[in-house]
Amino acid sequence: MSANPPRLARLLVRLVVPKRDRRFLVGDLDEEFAGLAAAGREPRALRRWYWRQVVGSVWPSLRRRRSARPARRRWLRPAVDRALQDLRFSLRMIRRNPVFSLVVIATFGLGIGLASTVFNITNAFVHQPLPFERSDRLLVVRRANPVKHVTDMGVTVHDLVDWRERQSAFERLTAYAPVLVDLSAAEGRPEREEGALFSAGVFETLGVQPILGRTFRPEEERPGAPPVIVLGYDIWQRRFQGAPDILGRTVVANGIPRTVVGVMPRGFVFPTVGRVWLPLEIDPAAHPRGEGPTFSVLGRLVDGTSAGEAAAQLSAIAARLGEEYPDSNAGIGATVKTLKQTLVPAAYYGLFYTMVAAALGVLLIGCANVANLLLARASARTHEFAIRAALGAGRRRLIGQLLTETFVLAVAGGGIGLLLGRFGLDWFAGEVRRVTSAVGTGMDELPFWINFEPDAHVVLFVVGATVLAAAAAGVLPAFRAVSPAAGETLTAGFRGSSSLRIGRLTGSLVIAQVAVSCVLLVLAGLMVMSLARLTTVDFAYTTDDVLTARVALPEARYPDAARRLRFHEQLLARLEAIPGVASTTLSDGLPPVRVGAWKVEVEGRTYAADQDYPRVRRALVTPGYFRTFETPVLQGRDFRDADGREAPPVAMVNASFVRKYFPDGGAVGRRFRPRPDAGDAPWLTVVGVVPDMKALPLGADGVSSEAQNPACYYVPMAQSQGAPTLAMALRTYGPPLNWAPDVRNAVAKIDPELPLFRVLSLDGVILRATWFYPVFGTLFMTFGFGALFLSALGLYGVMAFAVTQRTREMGIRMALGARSDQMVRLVMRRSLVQMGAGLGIGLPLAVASAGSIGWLLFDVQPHDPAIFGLVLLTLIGVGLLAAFLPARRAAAVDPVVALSVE
Amino acid sequence: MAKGQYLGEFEQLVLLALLRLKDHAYGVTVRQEIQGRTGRNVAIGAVYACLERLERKGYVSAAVSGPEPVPGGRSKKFFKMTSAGAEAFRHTRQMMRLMTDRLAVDDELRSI
Repeated sequence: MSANPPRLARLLVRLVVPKRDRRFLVGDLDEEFAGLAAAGREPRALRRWYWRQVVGSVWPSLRRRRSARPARRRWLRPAVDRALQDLRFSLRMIRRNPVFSLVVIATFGLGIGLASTVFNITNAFVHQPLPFERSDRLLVVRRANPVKHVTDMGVTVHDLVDWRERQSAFERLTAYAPVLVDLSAAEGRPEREEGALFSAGVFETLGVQPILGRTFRPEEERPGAPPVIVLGYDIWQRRFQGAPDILGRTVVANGIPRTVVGVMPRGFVFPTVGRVWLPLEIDPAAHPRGEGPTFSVLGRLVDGTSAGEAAAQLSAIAARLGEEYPDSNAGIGATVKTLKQTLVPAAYYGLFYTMVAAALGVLLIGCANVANLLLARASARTHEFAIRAALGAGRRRLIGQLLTETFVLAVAGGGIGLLLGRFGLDWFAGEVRRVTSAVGTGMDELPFWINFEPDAHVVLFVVGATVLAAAAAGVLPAFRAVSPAAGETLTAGFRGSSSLRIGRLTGSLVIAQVAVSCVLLVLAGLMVMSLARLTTVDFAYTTDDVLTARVALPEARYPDAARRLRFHEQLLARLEAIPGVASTTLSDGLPPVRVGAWKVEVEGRTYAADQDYPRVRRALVTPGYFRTFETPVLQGRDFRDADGREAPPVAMVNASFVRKYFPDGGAVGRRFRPRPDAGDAPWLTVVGVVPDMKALPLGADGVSSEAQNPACYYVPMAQSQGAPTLAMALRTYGPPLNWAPDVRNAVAKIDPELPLFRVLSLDGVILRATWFYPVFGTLFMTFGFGALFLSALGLYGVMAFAVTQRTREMGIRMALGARSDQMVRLVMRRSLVQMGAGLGIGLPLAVASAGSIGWLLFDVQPHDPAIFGLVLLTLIGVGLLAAFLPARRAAAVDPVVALSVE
Repeated sequence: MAKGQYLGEFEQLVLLALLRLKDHAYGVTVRQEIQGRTGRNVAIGAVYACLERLERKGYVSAAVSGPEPVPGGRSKKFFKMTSAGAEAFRHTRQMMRLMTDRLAVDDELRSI
């Protein structure tokens, strides 16, 4: 997929090569690139080759541009000469102060690097177009019923047919729906794949061509059409070894033999995870209006029509349908989103922009530092400027000179930032890839619609950030340095009399820094706390070394409880016989997965109305369940094999169940039963109590602790109707996925047609739901510590500088009898005032921004007092230290030395 | 012949590549010819810059071909040495020959 030249390099070469040769040179580069790719050079080496060519071409091309240009116009000439002169002078200054320059460049680099990493990630999710032709013209239509507060629902076949007839905004309307596809054992092991139903024209609307064969024809969406199937690239490769004669072969999918008519190109997955496609049958006669399955509708806008116009048209049609068919369509409207919006949920946008803002905050702190350094240096150079001004240098000229210096440093920093951004992005992409492969989707690639290649947006952002950073850091010091007041220094015997005014300026910079750091540290603290809470979550079950898998028993072959239970028994016996398995269990839901809720009636209580019966979650489990997950039984006993069909009905309950329904504690021996809808269900006697086993999603969306730990009861599988979808769990001695083939065999020996799916380690199940926290937590942590480090540095720099400036004053004070502790207090008082002011501004800001990321915190309140307290203490501590070191130095000054300074 | 008309080392390499490639000399082939023979890593931009310099001096002429007759075919810029170029090259070689005349260069170099 990556046999394309790196886009950034291409952009660069287009920028530097003169127009007359541009297309030939770029064409030549691409030709060689394609040749090397065809010769089998690996993508990384290819990209490196391309970059080397481009980098090597920059200088010759630029030199030639300069020599080829006609002589500069006369009025421009002095300006250009001045700029070049400033540039040369700047380079000389940079070389002369290597430490200063390095610090400034590193500061800019760090800030710009963070910002460009985050912007690049944001760009990939938010701005980059999908890899479809003119993807911004692709819209997804669904329905909503505002009256009933339903914001999103699928489109029924009847509405689709009417929409198709009446609309003119789209080239055509097509429909798709996700579906699970069981590929049978006829040609390999049975497997369940994520797939999709596609009406005719979905592929064409997306603009994707098959690499073999064809896509669906219009007649194939009609009922009774010969069954066909289109395969994804990796299924074709994995299951059929990429057989070239795959077209026309028969594949049994969901029990129906289908003819393979096409294979899609590598990397094409739609929607989100579908990798095999069946025709979607459009048959309005199959269901009464308003019923039947629903789909998402996809269309490409006709040229000249806007998304708004299309939405208006569909709304009008929906409204008319509401009048024509009030029973099924009243109040139902159409909602239109771009395809991109359906892939990247709106909630992500907030997160991404918060991150960009946080990164810009770090950059801002860096700018304040640089500004401070520049101010310090400017006051050290006041003498130089005064002399130059006296010799006739204009104010403007001096300012231009100073700004050029800052700008050159910022550009160098921007270069480093670009590199750092690249590393950051690689890290992030690696993390995402690690997650997608760990959760066993079988893909170790990024989702097809994420493209991390930096594009013009990113380049513009970095350039913009560099220029802004240079301006933010450079303008104030430059103006201050050449202010008329600075001119007095010559007559003032250069005693640094302007330091007071500079002091006020640096003071406000420190205040701003403290405020921004406070915000970033609070955000970082919250994320780190989330992460810590997450890694130390008491699941009440062990998550490592557990293999999980699912199998679905089709209704046709397992119609009744007896047959299902028989299968359970056989499977359990086979699984237990696998070597290296410590214990094993079957259930209708794994602990992290929510199981269904049922109404129950607790013995001894009365319920007035139907809705008063409490809803409680219920899991069907075999006796090994708690042993396999290493969950302790708190009271009573575990299930045993003797709790069979004929034995008295029993149940186990969790701690929340006991808390809610047996508040006096003694649960063992008490009875409850599922709410009898008809007849009377038998009472279940509680035989044991277990702790609450955590269910996913963990803490997301501000789920309360109450909802996190729902009341739940467990029933022996053997006393139930058996589970049609069965989850198995095996505690293994070693990496759990190693046992996957054995489990597959065990199932196949009983029923070779049953596909195994979601074969994951239990850690994988949890990672799938929580990967978010480590990845984004690390990012925010980087922001927080970057901010803390930079502002501590800034604080120290400012204080140290202020003390140096006041050495004379200190000397006089000491000579007049000031004690050293008084001196320390004097110096520190000022920084304490600044800290206080900074925190006064920063804390309210932190409170506001913490609220905005509340939704992604795990088990942490956005206004957690401990975190706010910790941040305050840290900042004050760092501030005191940064002030104390220079203060101590000031106090140790020898008055004689101090007075003879200069 | 004026002083400015001496050929630099890279210019000589490029001109020799043009001689070798005859009608096939365009960016890719020139670059590969030099890199393949000398083992020196040559950037395509350097080749174009040099060719343009030679073109401006009148030593090289360029002709743009029509698009290749395949879908997505592009046009290429082919280069040829002009007679002025041939003259300049001859001159450079002549100067070199005069300086090395009756001098066993390799032996002399080895003895240093």
